[in-house]
Amino acid sequence: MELSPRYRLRAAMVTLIVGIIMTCVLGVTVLNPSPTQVSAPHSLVDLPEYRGTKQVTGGDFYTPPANLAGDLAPGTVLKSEPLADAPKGISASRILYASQTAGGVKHVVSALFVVRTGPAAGPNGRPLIAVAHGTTGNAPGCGVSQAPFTRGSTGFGTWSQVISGLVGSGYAVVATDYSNMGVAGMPDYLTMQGEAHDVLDSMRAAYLFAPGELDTSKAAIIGHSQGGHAALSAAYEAPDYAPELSIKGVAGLAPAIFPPAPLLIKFVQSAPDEDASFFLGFISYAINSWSANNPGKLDLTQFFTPKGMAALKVGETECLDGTAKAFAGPKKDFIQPNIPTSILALAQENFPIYNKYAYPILIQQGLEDTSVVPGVNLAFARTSCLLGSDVTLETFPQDIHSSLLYTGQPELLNWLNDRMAGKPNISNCGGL
Amino acid sequence: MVIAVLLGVVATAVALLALLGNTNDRSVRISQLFVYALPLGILAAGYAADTGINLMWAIVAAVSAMAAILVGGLLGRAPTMQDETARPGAAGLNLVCSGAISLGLGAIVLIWASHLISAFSYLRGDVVSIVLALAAVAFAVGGRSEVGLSRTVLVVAIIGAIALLGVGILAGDIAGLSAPQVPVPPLSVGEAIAYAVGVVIIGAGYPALRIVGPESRRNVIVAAVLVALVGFVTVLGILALYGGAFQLPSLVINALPVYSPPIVSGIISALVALVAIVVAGGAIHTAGHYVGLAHPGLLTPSDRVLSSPRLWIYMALGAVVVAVVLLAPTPSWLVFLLAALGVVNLLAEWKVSASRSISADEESANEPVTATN
Repeated sequence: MELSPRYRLRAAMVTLIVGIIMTCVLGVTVLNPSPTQVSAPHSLVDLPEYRGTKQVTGGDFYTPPANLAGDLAPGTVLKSEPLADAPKGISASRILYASQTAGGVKHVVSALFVVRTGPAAGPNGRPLIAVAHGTTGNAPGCGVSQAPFTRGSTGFGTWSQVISGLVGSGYAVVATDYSNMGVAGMPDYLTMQGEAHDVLDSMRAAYLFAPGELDTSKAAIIGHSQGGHAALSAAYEAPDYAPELSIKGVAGLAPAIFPPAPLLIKFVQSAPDEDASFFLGFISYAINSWSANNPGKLDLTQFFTPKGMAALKVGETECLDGTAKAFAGPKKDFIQPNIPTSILALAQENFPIYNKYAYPILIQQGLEDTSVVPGVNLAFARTSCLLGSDVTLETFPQDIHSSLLYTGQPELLNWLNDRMAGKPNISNCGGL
Repeated sequence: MVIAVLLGVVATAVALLALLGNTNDRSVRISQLFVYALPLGILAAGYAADTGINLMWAIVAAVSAMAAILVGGLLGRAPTMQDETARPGAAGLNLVCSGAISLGLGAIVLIWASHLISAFSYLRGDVVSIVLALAAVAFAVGGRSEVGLSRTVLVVAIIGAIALLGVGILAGDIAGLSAPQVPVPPLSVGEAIAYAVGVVIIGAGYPALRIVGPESRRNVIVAAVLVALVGFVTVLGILALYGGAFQLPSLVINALPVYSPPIVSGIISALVALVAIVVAGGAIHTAGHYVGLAHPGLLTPSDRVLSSPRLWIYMALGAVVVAVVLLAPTPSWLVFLLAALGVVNLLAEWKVSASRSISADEESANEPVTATN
């Protein structure tokens, strides 16, 4: 198109103006899905009393009844007992329920059921929220149901930072301990199907445990960190495994999602030595669980040095604090220099990142988080959107892994209330 | 914010260069052919990545793209481009399909670019695609500096491919190319053939190549090889980085940009924007050209044959491209749609050719016979 010189100059002026305007529009619309800029003070929330330094064995309750029939329906309640130390106005019970491992083997898992005393707000009872807790260990006695109201226990953080707010808002909560963390059994840390079964069967168990208390037409799942992975895994598996559950939404709070790629191995190898003890603890839990669920597929000695194997064994009996102590020291003392890439295939099988979710998904992520790297969850939200999922991403610029639970809770409750009220989810996929 | 400014500056600069830069001479350079052909490479790789790409898929994609470019560039001009009268029936259909294919390929480039830029920058993908489309329209309207910008695109693409391969070798696992650690669904022979045929049909109907191809067949061959090589090396680097295979959309792919240093993200975003504006601008220009051929009444008053339509037509075509981008079709769906348009396009072209040869035969039969001694 041959334009006259005068017309060209005029077009150039218009282009310049449009360019400036569009640059401003680009700048103004930079992805900023942050509902708030104010973080909970990190010094008040990142305390050992919330991390679970006290391992509380649950006693005889966590021994399943003898002579269990092999064909127990998943979710069948086998045992229950009230918790005498529940705060005033709160009714809490621990329950044992039937579930199955990732490989489909029937086993018994424990959970905490909490509800506010008094009548429910709605005529049909209280909506049920399944809470999946963050990493507290991978061994019996490290769950949430043993002593949730005792400061410093592995359950206290989940009770005080997550469950209490939900119960206070009128929801009933069931929080699985995960397999092997109440009743001894198959560990399933970051094992997609195992964790999904733990969560979904705990919901079935809750409905059987308190039938008159709960509104079976409204449920949701939320989880933090490892629990975020478990919540998303449950959402992934629910349409096939538990289609009868009326799940209205699933929230992953800093979910533990990692990309199965060679870079992940390099990331592990290049992570700094200092403060690597918790990181190594998490890795040992995942590899140990994947190995247990996939016999013959992984040789643990290819990943861990003899000293690392000894620390891994500590993780089979002690909770996170004890495991981290066992992994204290230079990383190279515990991890083999050449980690085999065969781990990636198992990682691929255990992260719920390949398909569209059937329910609205909320992802909350603190951008100062150093336990779960924020970028992966931003990428996860983007990828889920591209797969067609209905995703809302909320980022919190000043929050770390633990403070997110405080800062994000008002938004989380609003989101849950909207889902229960049947309002359409407001996705920000368009901006991702 | 820095990337937003950088992107705005690049988009505005390219638009201004197209409006105020040097006038191009008429000869078509390899770099220009590379720019015209690049959407076919992006389309081919995009489809393969959508279904799950590994080394075998990468080879099929590169070969398909090369074949498509060769077919488009060597097939010659369509008969409907020979005169400026309004074209009813098959000829009109041929022109409409050609224009639509061009716009579809332009949209593919903007989809690719907006995804990539927003992954690197947190900028909204929809806003990015609008900004790029506006600059592409200015590029199509201005028509200047094409040679220089095309050369820049070629250099950027080659350096980018080599750099990505280097990153893949250093940070990834080159051994995974032959035995992916995270496998994707295997490639079936039937699917590979159907896909290759689809891409070639799109290439055969791609008007930019049909117009400029006949001017230099040698350059077409070089451009085809370059696009295939650049695309293959790029994909090879990504495959090595991600363990030998990946399927889009991929968390693994999306995670890397998040950890790129801001300066790297900014440079990548700016370069991708440059490539996308020039390539999509070329596609919009070609589509506008076909609108002019189909409806000479829409040409600017001083125009001649093969000239361009009025400004608002370009704006409308840009809007169509943005609409397609915002609809966010999957690469698989786009390949199917564009291949279907390509089939209709070829059938219409064949019908026009057949009717013209009949007319020519009739005319020669009616000519008076001149006696010769």
